[in-house]
Amino acid sequence: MSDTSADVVVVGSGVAGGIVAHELAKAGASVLILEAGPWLSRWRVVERFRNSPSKADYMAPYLSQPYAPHPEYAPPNGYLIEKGNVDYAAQYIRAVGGTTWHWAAACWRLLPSDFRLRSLFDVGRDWPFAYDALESYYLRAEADLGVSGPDDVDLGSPRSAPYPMKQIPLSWMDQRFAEVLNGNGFSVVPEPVARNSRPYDGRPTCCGNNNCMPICPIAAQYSGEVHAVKAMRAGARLIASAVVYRIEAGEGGRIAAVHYKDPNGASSRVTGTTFVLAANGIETPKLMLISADDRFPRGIANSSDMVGRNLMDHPGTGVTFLAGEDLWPGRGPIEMTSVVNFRDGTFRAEYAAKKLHLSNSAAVRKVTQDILSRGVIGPELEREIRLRSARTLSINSFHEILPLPENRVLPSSERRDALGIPYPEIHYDVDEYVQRSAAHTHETYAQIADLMGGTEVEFDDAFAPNNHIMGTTIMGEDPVNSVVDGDCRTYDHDNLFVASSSVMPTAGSVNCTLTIAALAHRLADRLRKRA
Amino acid sequence: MMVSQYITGHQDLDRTLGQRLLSALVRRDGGFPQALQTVNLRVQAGVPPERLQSTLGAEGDAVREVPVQIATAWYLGEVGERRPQGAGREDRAANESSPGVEVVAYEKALMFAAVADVLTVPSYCRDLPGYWATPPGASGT
Repeated sequence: MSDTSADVVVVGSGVAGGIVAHELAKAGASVLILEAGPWLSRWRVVERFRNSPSKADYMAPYLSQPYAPHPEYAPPNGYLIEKGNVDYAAQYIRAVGGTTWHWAAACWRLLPSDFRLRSLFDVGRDWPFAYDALESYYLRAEADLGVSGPDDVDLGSPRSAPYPMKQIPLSWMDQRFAEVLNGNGFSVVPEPVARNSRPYDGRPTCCGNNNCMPICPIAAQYSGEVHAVKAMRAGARLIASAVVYRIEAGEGGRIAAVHYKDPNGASSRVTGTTFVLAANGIETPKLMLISADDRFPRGIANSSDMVGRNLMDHPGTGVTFLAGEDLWPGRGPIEMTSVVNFRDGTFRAEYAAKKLHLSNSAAVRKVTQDILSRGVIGPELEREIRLRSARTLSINSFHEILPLPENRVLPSSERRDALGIPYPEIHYDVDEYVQRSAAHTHETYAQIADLMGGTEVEFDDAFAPNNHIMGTTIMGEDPVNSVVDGDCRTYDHDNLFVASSSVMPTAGSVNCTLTIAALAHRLADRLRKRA
Repeated sequence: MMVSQYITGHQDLDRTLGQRLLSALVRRDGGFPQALQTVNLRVQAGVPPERLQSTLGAEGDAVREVPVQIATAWYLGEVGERRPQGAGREDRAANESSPGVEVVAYEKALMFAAVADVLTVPSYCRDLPGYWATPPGASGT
């Protein structure tokens, strides 16, 4: 393919890239989206799920492509090369639409205090701007993704308008859980979710298929392809299976072009006026680092040496127990409530904020496997399946990890994919700030299990990844220790921007997708004004 | 099919599915038909299902595993060895690795039949939106 050109070149077609591309295409810019992965069709993903022996692995229905690999875990494909004390083991999807093909669709806003962690608690970093500066963009993001949320509950993040859709009714289990815990000093609230409580944006009402992860069969839940397609309808071009492997700096450090390979390895050069990297918190810094050249030997946008560093997630621990009453997880969508009273407080000077959430995924398959593995058959098998399906509760958590430069992504010097592009190498550890909080979480789990009449309480204290990849192109006011400024522009390259959770200076304790979408809207606003 | 009916307690098992499960079991272990024949003799002799396994104690592994293999095939819809899973963490990268497992059935797996009065088969819709807000039935019968 010969040279291509556009006003705005967007690398990545997930929720961030899709929204930026859509907004700018609507404003009349010529927009080209380069997506490393292929197009997916929902029905095929549903069929792959139903035929998969690894139904608890949410990556299993999404095939890793040799030319654009992504992590697989059943069995592991080793795509993320883990070099740290704790496995990062993130899941993400390289395909048109990105990782929101499977997600819990939780659409939390950060708290105002999450933007001022250094000022308030003397840990972590501050954002270059306050919550108020993002509020109107949160609203737009909620309208774009289609968020159903509670208007009669204060979630701690001030709102200037109601949610686009009313809250989805809580399951009986979630109602009981909230009732019991809220009567005992906890704060359990309905979770705002990008899941339809009425027909919205051409997509249907959630009817409780209980399969939000790994795939909503009916698209009642938002996924990023919505905005990739909207961007195209607004005039953007999208090239799938186009793996960007080099960012080329030109005169004055301005980015002149990006280069991509097709699945056969044929290379194309794409020139543009403005470049937006939206390829997630692992692939984006990897791309910047492998684009090193004579003038930028540390990599693109990396004069600070911060590209790839400050890798964050929400390390999670869990508990499973048998409740004292029949509650039947599995009725409705897979997650509906959260415990939010540990999201903020003066304790954040000492240990991590966190959110706990009750799973509403059906336990049937897991309990049946367990019962059969004990050799139980006959009438006792069905009695146990019913009892344990009705009473097995599972709670998980997100702990806030601080941005630490030693937690980082690097291009591997050992392994390369079919196109010759290095695999990502991860150096990750979970420090005492999180460990102290997790010890408290363990005690809290025990208390909750007790309140729910729990028996057979099983703690899972190992830190599990939650696929919220943040911090690796960190935003800040000082170019010495930051990759992008408050407008998400790289300090080193006037026309290179990042749309991703990788710009987030703090992680908070909630799912980051709504913040990604809000930051994408804010960036699109800035770029419109430049044009 | 008679042994399957006896082990599962279901008299209305799907014959086509039964044949496919049997084929998968035989593909995995050529000795399966012979082991099944041994178990069948006990069933014919009128051993009650809950005592079946204990009466097979003196037999070899291949025979003793047959009842659970048959129950696993019908209830999970799967044939083959599955590595043990960790605790029930739904949102961590799965610690379930099972490349040797053959999926023969999904929505017809008997585990879902056992809870069909209350729960949907994940990925299927069972009722009007919001049905989940109402109190469910009891687990006991």
